[in-house]
Amino acid sequence: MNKKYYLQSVLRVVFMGVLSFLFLIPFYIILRNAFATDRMIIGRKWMLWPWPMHILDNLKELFANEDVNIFTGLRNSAFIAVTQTFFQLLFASLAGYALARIPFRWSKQVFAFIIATLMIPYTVTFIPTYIVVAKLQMVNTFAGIILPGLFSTFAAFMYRQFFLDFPIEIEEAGKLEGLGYFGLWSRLALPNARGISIALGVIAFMRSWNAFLWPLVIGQNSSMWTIQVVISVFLTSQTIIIHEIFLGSLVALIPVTVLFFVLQRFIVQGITMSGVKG
Amino acid sequence: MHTRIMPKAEREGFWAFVLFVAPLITGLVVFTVIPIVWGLLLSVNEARGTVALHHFVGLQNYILLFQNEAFLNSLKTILIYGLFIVPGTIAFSLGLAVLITNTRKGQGFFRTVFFMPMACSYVVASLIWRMSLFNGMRFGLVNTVIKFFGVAPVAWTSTAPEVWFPLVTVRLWLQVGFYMIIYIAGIQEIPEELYEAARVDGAERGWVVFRHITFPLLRNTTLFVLFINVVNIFMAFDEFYNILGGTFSTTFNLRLARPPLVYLYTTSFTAQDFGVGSAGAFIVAFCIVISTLLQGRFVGLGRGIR
Amino acid sequence: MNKKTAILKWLGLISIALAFLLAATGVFAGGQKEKGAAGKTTLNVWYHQYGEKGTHEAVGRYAKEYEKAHPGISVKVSWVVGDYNTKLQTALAAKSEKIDVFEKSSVSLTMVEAGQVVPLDDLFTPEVRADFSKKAILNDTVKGKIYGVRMLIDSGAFYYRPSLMKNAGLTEPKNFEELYTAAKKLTTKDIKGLFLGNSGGASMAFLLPYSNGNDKWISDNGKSIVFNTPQTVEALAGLRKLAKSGSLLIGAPQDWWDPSAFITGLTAMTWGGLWEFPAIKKEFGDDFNIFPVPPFKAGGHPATFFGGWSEMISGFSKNIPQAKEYIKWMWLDSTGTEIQIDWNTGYGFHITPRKSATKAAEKLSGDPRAARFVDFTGKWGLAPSPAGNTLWDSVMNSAYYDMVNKVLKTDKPVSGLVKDGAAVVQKRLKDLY
Repeated sequence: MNKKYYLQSVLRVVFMGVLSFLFLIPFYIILRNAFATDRMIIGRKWMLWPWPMHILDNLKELFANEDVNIFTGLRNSAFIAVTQTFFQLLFASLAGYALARIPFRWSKQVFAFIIATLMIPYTVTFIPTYIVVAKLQMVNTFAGIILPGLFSTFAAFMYRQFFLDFPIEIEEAGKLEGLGYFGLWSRLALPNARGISIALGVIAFMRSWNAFLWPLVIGQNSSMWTIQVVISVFLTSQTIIIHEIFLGSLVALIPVTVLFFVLQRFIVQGITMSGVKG
Repeated sequence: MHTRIMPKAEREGFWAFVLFVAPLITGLVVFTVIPIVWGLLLSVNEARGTVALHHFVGLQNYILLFQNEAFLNSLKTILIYGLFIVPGTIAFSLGLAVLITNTRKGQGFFRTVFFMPMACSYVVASLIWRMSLFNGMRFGLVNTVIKFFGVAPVAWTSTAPEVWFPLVTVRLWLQVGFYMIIYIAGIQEIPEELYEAARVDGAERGWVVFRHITFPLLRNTTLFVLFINVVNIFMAFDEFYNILGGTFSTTFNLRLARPPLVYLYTTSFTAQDFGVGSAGAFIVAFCIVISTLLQGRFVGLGRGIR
Repeated sequence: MNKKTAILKWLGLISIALAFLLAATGVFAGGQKEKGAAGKTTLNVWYHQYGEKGTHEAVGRYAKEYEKAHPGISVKVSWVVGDYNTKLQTALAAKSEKIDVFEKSSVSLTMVEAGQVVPLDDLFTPEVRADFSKKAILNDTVKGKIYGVRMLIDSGAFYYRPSLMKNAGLTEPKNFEELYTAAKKLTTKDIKGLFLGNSGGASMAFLLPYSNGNDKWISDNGKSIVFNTPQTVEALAGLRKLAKSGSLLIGAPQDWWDPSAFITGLTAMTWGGLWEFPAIKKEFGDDFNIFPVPPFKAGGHPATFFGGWSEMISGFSKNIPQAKEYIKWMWLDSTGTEIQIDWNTGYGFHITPRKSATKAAEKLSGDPRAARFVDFTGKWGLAPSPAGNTLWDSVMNSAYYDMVNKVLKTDKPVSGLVKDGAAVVQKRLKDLY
């Protein structure tokens, strides 16, 4: 019995090792391409690793580029992503809490309405949203880039599921102490929702960080470009500078990957605590 | 008014509710509902090169699309894609979740590895797939590998049906980790006593346990994954657009596999026909609603979400 | 805690949050306000990002020079990276007043009817007309009115290496059959004979029928679709034969508009743009040459496309007269000659739309291969691009490519496919009027 179990777990680890290897290949390609020349990337044979490595040359080309400032891009992306993440969570947790906990006659309808907006493809809303933003005089402002992304129905949905399962006894105790709904939300519900907040926060941050078309269309000045827009500079109608795109992507990937490494424990916990479960 | 006949507690609740949902709802109304209504109106107008509403044409845009072979084919394309992606995602993410939760060492490592692709954007992933992984030359990585088995190089992104390999793998790679985390979360909620009881009954942790305990108890998780996946599949755009075409590439190869959103994107932004573009988007939305209702009917979605 | 304080606290939180948001966006947006001093008109000019080094600086320099010569005007250049087309279309559909002048490679009836562009006929005086490429004017003409001033002309050719040709006992192909044979003979285990792009032939969808004498896709009166001819059927059947011969390169990392497949030796011949000329010359020096799409057979004629970019004025601009003055100075006045030469040959490689500039441009007339490029583009460039009529819109184009796709990917008789394709396009033409 024991032997069989041992063999099983060895097999499992080997299998997962192979899968991990496959999953890491694209990251290896990013690294490989980032430090090669275009000639090496599209050479005659698959190049395992660029030799000589063009680390300094490529970095210099990226960071000293006259057309774009990658630092500005990183700063803008960080600012936009942090702001969007914070407000998305704030608004979604408020709404999710109300939908789960505050008795209200039309609660179901409000919830259905929120779910319904999930189902409309963005192609239909893209230009009308642009016009709304233009009417609000927000084209070419950070507000125009940020505002439409503050309202996440997905996050509100997840919060609602989480709060539905939140032990009602804790809130009863809170009510006895004289807490109103706001107090219940800010003192009891939200602190206990740290896990799911981190999970949703990481997702929101990644979405915002990787967004391309909207920031491109709204931000006209190069001083407003996000990191993704900056990277697109290397992809033009005449040429693609392959190694620079990959190096730029590598630079863009680092902050999100670090963020995930630090927070990954909480993400699982967070989703565990949401209502999406067995 | 309403408030007068409401009991005190409910009145309190009323205002609290309104204040709590106001920020989200206001934002949704301004940035989503107004555009959706506008789009709906556009879909019954002739709107070429403009999004002004002054030429009502009834259902003509919808009729035009239903007569359009290319658009109808795009719906077929997305169904095929869904048949690969939805079961594939569920199988892979559930399988990985079960394996990881049964592993004693290195859980954190494996979780991180499989979740990491989430950090990657579709644009970057598509470039990796198109330029290096599924490059059609001898020096593409996949072609290098299959050469060991004596298979000739394949032009992955220029020929059908081979094109489905890069398309399916890129989405699985990007999203499986996310759903895996959701499954792990679900598995951790299953009471340990159930497994212990099974052990007493003589069942090892294996296929039997999975079939009779893990999988049935993950029903709601699976329904959630199914729901989100189906919605997302209908809106698939980036991997097709970036692997088969791209901003500056000829979009000709998209004819190998052109999903509805890519077709509508070109209708709206290349042909500037916003009326037909919006009508198409509503047809897609209608498909999403129908498939959601079907899920509700046959697998009980909705009951799972409460 | 009672309810009143709770609500107050709630409101407090929201207002702090909003204040933060406004402050943050305000701080960042503050720097973006247009600087235009009182009484100064600001012209917003949009360019898509050119890949050639130095073009961005050049555009900035032209703007500075213009400002110097016109003290009342300030020119604000937007260098649009990424998806220029989507960004431009979005702004135009929203009737944005923030664009005065923009670039576009073609003008469509949709744009004209939506009022997105203004006629520029008054800029084309008889002297200008005499010196300007006729095809370039035709390219920007819809229903008799001119809506754009071409800044650069692009076209394409087959690039090949005479040394490789000689080794295979071949000469420059004089008709389609010879092209087919050359592609076949140049194909080895490691190198394909010809690269038409990763689509495997779509780049020839118009040019091959054109080279076989099918000169029109839409009739002159704009009422009917006329490409369903024996010449088209024959040419597309030839394209199918070529695509199935195994001598075409497909699946390359970059498409035909990038020289890398040719330079790295993946293919012996390639279809390529004029803009690739400098890179290929740098690589192969004298060991490369070019030729247009050869006459399909006796009775046909050479062919190439006639592309490029034009400057247009937005119909929603508040400064139309100033914008016209700007375009005139940039491309049509005497200053325009210098700018045209600098713009077309200083960074990359394009043909100047003004004949006088073309003559004066050393790079265009100096190298005999470049001169040949200029010559056949003027004579045999299919203009307006891509189908010889500006009424040909992107919906027709997409339907046409759907048809070509079936020619390339199926075995159905070409004549039937062309007939069906023509019917679909005809329906669209009818829907438009």
